[in-house]
Amino acid sequence: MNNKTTTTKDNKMQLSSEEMKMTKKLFWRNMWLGYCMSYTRQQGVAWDWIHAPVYKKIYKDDPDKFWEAMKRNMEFYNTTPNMNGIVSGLAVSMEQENAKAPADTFDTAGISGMKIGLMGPMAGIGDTFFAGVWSLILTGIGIGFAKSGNLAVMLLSLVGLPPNILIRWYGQKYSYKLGSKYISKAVQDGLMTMFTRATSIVGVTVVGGMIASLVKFPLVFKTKINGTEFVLQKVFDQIMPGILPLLLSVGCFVLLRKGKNPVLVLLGVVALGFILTFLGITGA
Amino acid sequence: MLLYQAFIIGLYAAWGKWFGIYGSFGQVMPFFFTPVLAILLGKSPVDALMIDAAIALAFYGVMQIGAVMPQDTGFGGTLGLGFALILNQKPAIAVALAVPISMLAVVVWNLLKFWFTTNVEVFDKYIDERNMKKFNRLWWIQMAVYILTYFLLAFLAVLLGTHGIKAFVTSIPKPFLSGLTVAAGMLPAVGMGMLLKYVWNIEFLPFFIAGFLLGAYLKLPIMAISLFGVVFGLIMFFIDRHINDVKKSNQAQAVTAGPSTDDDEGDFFNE
Amino acid sequence: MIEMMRVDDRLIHGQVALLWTKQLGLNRIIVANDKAAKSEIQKNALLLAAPAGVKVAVVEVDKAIKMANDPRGKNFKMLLLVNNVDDLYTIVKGVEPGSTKVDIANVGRVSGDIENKHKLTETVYLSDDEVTKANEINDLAKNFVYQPLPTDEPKPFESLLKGVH
Repeated sequence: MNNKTTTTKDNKMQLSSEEMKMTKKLFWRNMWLGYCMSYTRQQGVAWDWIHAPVYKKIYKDDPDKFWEAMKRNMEFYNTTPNMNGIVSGLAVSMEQENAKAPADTFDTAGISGMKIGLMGPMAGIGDTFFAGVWSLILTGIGIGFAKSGNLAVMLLSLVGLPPNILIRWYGQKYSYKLGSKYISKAVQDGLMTMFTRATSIVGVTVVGGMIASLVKFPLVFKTKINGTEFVLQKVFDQIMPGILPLLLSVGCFVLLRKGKNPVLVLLGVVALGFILTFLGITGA
Repeated sequence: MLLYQAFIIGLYAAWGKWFGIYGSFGQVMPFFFTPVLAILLGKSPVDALMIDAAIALAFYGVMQIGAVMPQDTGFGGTLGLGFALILNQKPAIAVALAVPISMLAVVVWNLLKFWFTTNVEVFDKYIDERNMKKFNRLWWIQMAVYILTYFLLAFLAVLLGTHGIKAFVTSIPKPFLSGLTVAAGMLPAVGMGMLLKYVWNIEFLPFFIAGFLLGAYLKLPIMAISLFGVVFGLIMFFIDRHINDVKKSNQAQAVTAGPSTDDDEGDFFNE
Repeated sequence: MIEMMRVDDRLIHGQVALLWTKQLGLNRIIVANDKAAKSEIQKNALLLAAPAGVKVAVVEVDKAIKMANDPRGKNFKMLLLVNNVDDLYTIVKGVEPGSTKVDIANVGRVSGDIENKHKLTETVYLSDDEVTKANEINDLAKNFVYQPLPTDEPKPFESLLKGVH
């Protein structure tokens, strides 16, 4: 892989038409990673189904090596699908080296080692970013639109899709062409950490805003004391608007952080809603 | 009519199961197909969005991490939305249906996953036999069963369950209904708590407060608040980058200054 | 202080980076794995997956034992992560676990033939040798459990070992 890094940047990323065809094929096939997961191999079978045509091309003169690759890759595999391009691209470039290498000079255990080594960290990054932060922000904004029946919510996918598609395409392309080098560069730059932090901040801000506008705690209790009307909701609004949704959410947060079962917390909140309504304190 | 509605909701459920995974697109395109379902059912897309927003709020914070599915929010949401639309019900009813269905539906997924697991041996066998045709065939059979299962489940649930659910929903006494509405409105607090738990870091407290105040006092829409969030995020990003650059140049100096004492430990024990 | 010792085939992944880090309020993770410490790419990937606010060290098992016993560690909340039972055994011998939670969460599916292993749970498969070692770990660790996710009920590992014939 050393000779690749000595060429200029432009040449480095240049794919031959053959390679481009393969890259595109793999990109579309990698969309299928999450289907039909099993307990014992998770995405292992899907990996093989995805890569079979690519392996076939790589080992076109050598069916023994093709089936050996299929068998070898039918191992346990599990990562966040958005991040799979990085591992997939790297794995394919290693398979190509294996195909070129004279018999028994390439240690295929390295391919497996790379996959096993990378699937966890990639899932760590992917789950934190995609499942944790990105989809949370998008759904939050989406709820804001959808709540008032605003069809503009459909345009949200214009913002939602690019990071997903870009990491799939460029992750796969770069790791195929440049090997693992850019992963260490990303570590040295510390860009990834800063990026996750920045998006987490967006997430936390959105959650704060959602608590204020989307968590409901509608008080209906009112009474007359010495002829003046006493409206409970007004009292709380004077302290701070949205103080009850805030307290309720923070209360749930504290309970969950203490390790309370989410289902129990959920049932507790439902019970609270019913009891307060029957007591005439809250209402719809 | 009911047959048509059941068919459409079945298709929608199957489509959701397909699109929820394909390229992870479903995850980053929330609400995209909700109006489509409403139009196919001859209902108002605006109502559908409002109902779906309430469902999404109830499920907000339920995440699938590392192959463990806590609740099948996709399937539960589809049926909650579907029933509420064809019975012209309020969002609170949709939530009350979606949450328990999502919990039950996990059982179906576990059964499917169990079947996929028994198939692994068969895939292994086909590889040993060097039979790519059979390998692909089993893959597509799995895909078809997966999609069909959810189609049939939703189809039958609507076809056979609608009358029962209608009777149940109309028999709900009024005070119970308002209790339900209040509970559905409070439910998002659990999701918010869950999310805070995932992303919480005491350093983020100012941004959390800012987001809340922008909503509570200025009554800004979520979109505007998230744009403020982007501003905060960018500010912190540039500060972090600056700190990082300073650190790096310090390290570079340290390396040139003397023999490196650095081992694998690095600055692990430094603050 | 070591908050938890965990066996996980995939080392740092979503369950660790997102869930356990928050649950335990971690600020340090020691990944003890000879292979990963030597492999530049795996080491870098693990460093990249470090959750925000958490420093990660990817080191050999011997080194990890030294670090775990380092008095400077007292001020930190640390997770000690390995990917196999053998390494856990070595570590439990080298670091007094006391009442620290020792958690075998996911192991055995990644490498080796699972048909020759004992299935203890859906995510834990152990060979004969590993069962023996797990039994010895059980004698040394007071709080030895199976708990993949923080929200799962911790199961005493001893009860799982009893089912193995």
